[in-house]
Amino acid sequence: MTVALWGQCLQLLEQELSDQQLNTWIRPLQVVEEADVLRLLAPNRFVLDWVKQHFLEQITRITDQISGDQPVRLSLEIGSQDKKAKPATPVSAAIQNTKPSYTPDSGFAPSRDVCQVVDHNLNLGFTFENFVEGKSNQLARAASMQVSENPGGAYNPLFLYGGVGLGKTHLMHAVGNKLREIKPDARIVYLHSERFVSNMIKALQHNAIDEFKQFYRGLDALLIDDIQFFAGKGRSQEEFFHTFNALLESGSQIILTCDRYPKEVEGLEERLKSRFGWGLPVCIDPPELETRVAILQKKAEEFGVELPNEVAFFIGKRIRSNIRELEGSLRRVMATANFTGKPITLEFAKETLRDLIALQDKLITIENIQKTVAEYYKIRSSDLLSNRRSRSITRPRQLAMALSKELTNHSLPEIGNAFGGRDHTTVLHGCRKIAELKESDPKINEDYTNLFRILSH
Amino acid sequence: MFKQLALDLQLRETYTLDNFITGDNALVIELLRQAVAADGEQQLYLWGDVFTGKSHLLQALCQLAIERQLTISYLPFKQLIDYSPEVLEGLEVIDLICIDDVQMVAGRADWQLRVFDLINRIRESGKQLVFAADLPPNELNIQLEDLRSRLNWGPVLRLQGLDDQDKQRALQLRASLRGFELSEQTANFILKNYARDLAGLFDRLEQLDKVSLAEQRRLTIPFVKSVFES
Repeated sequence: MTVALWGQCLQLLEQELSDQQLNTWIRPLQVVEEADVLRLLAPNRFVLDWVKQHFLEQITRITDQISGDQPVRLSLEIGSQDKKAKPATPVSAAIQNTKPSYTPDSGFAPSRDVCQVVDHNLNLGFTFENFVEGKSNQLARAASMQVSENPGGAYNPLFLYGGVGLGKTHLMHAVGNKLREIKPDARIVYLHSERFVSNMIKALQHNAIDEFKQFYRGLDALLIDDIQFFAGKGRSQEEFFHTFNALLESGSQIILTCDRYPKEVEGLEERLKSRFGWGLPVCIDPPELETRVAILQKKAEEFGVELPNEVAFFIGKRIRSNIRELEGSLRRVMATANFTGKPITLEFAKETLRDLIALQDKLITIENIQKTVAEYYKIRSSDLLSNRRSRSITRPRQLAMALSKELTNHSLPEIGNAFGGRDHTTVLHGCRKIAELKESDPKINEDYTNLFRILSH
Repeated sequence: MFKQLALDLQLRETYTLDNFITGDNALVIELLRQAVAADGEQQLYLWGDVFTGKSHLLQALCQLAIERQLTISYLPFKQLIDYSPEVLEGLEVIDLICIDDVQMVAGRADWQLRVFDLINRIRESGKQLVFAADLPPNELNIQLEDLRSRLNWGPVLRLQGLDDQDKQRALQLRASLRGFELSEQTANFILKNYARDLAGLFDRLEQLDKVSLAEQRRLTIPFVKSVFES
């Protein structure tokens, strides 16, 4: 059979189907042409069923037409063939394979050698060297460093938690990379909790749960990202619980990230919550302005672009919520500069990010902050503006003032004015009080973090 | 005499970057071109009003990728959202994934989680991801913050609408792609008198296409008038 069979088939399909049909259903199929079989590999069951139902007849007719007196059998399977990395690993092959070996990436590989090569999934670009340290992540960085130098020691598991896009994953990979640097044959696996769950389900479906267990329990370090997604998934939690215990017993290192403190994850079994707290839970807070600026500078440096300080400050001031958004904005400014051939100046950055800034100004107003804070504490907006001095009102009022100072570019007198015509020294006092309480009162710190997140996205 | 019946045939329209009227969107087009070249952005997010050409651009990008021997998947969420998010499984082996109307995941926890998971997988596999939506990520009704922050990862770019002159050109270009001639005067006349937004203009074009084929008439100004004002 000629290699061009599928190519010809596609050409004919192009005459019968719309671009959209082709691009959504037909082109994502990968093709393996064998002696007298044309194997079409669909990325998942859904695509497979859709193609079978809507297009298989057409495809069969066309291939019959082309192949003439050398008939070709058409086989539609779920699977993939990554051009660069691995040989085809269709599920059907795994089923036929009496003892499929396990990899966290594909689920199964044709090779029988379990764990000979561990596909660690580590992103080599995340290192300690390019992690920008600031007050908000100092502790998390120090703990991660400790773990990379002394894995399986006192900080086990290392539990990094904090809001989205603050660098938890970066630190996690940095530890993994460091561990590999020190011990190149260390068996380390990074994966997202969603993957752990879906791999486990696959293993159950294919009667390979023992291989699954054997694989994960034989690691030197297991890094699982965003474990909050285990919430409500009983069977996965059960399996993870046992994996977790086995790894701890054998002195392997476990690193977990989560968007909140272990005890606060709803839908997670108590025994897991308590175990997650055994080692060292450390928090990463949103980076303060200086750190945001340093992050921008570091990224620009990685891209080989000179970023004037005033531009870095401008972007850093405007984008407060998370690092991904900082990076996205920087990329946009650099791409525009590259395209127009203009130098990156303050004016240029303002112009480029104009719509983003307009949007933020629209979203974050003092009024909006007052409304959000009032809703959060279940009081009325007007209470915040009133003269009432009970604790249940003054704390939210001070929080709203501190948030207004942090999230808008209004002056202190303007903020005071917006809070029922208060003096700017009152605003200043409120901001200081909140800064103090954030250090000493976890509840206030949590409220502030939540509100900050809600308001700045 | 019988009128010739206009066949209800969906004409095959091929979207390319060359038949997109650029207007103020030169940067977007350039970044899309780069996206399928070696050193492009790994992730792009385009947003704009209806008829700013989002779907056109995504389809055109797929076309360009195919020419470069890359594998692609185009996912129109407006249509897929009624089905299962399982459609996103296993896509990380595909070189370029274009997700159209990603705003459709609003209020759909299952879809949000799957898209989030897909972005993670694509990050790891080093493939390319392009989103289109009607609003920027921070204005979408997305409850999963992990997803929102990831949609902001690459450049978020706004597609600008066309000015009147470019709209007129777009109208003419669309007519010629559908196989008939629309003069500058007639196009301008439609724009001045009947519709100014592309959605309205393309609608009118559709009507004219059907009637002119049935009556075998050329698209002159008097004919256009007779169609729309009868």
